[in-house]
Amino acid sequence: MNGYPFFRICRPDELEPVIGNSVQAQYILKYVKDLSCKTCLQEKEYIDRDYMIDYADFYSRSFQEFKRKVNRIHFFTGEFDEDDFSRALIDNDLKSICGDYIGFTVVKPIENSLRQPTIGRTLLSTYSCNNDRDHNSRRIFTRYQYPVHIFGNEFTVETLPFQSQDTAVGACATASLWISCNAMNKLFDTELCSPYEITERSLTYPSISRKFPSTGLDPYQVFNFLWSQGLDTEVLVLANMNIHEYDKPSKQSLQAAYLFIRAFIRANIPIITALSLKREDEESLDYHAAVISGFTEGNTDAVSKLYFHDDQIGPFCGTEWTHNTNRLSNEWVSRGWDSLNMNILIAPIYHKLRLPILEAIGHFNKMKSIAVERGIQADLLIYNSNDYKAELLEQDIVDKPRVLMSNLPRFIIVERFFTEHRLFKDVLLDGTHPFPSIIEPVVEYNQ
Amino acid sequence: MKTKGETHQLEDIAKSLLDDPEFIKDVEKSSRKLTELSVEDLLKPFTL
Repeated sequence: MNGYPFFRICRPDELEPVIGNSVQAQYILKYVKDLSCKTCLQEKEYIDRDYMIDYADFYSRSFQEFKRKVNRIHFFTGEFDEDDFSRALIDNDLKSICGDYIGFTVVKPIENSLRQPTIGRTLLSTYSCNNDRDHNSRRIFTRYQYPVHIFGNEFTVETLPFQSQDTAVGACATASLWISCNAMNKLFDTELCSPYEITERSLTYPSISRKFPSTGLDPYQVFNFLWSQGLDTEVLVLANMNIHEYDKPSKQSLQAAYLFIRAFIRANIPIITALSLKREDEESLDYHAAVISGFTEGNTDAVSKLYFHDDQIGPFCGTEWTHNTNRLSNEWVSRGWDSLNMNILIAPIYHKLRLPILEAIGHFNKMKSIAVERGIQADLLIYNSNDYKAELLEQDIVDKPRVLMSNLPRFIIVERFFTEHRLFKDVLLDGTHPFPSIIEPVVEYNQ
Repeated sequence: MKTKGETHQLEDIAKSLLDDPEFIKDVEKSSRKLTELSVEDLLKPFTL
């Protein structure tokens, strides 16, 4: 019997009446179980900033009544009940019973078209970066630290926020922009916006569709929102989105895409991607936007697995990428679509990262081909110079004090040369210059 | 094991490429090609 009106403790299998049966809810339940969730804590009257803004701007002006407060569900690896929890609060020893904190999901009092509750702001830990099934590969995620407060206790979760679309105020592109907006806020202190605010601001670039209920943003409107945030965008087109070309990327665009994704994700910048979906018996495409939130790094340059924040699936959704094509495979394919193709990559960037990444890639590709002839491998990385110097502090490099004390621009693009056993040299390009230019010092690693 | 000379050479090549107007033109051209998106595509809404 629960004596507390505002919270409840339960097992993951008992959550369905609260979280519902949507695709996203089912995904989240499976995801937290994979991360060894044993106990859930439901906060029944949580005030969620994003939903409160959407409530004020949109739902409060409806004839139908909507609740202002949401359910927030926390996930823990520890096994405990309400008595354990109350005692631990009295003893100020909550962390001793909770185990690891996996994160939380918000369940909004808004139903989707299938009459299921909508999943709001969700912060869940990533899978481990080490891949137990393949020791030669490593998962790389975009993620930031978030403090979470529960009854006076602070927990931390390292993640990229997720939420599914609330169809009335925004579709998939709005959800993707919201995810991206949260990342940019952490990186560049840009403004946080709710889904309603994102749709409204994007639609200052007009189209013939209705504003609300939202029917989906087009790429111009996606750019419009990002630029309104004071950001700029890097774009890579793998293949145009018409029925004749959507699955025909050039070899050059695929190679550039591998580098583009590796460089931006490792720089902690999530990438919005435009996807086209096709059913076998139809001669038209459907378009979808999602966010690339990670990839698996292996021994080759090609990327064979991506992780998506897809508002129609869930956070860090594993997505296979068929070699030498732009064809992907994830839950969409089992939902009746025969193909899922990746067409456009859009990386939001701080405006002072002025060197177009594709020009850096052009220079890098030439350098790499020369290096490979000499048995040397190469990689392309984007750095904030403070992070780069912090990494160099840990390394054995030639003339370390001079390198660390040298002036560097805020952003640098690093062409790194190495072999299987050691790093050789970093050639630095000035990321704040409008065309490729090498800056001193060239960083040499001690043998 | 690569010699110090070989890696110095890489660095010199990196610099010399950027002094080569033909190379720079090629890089700019292929970079533009990779960002070409038709106006029709720019107006397609993401509806799913």
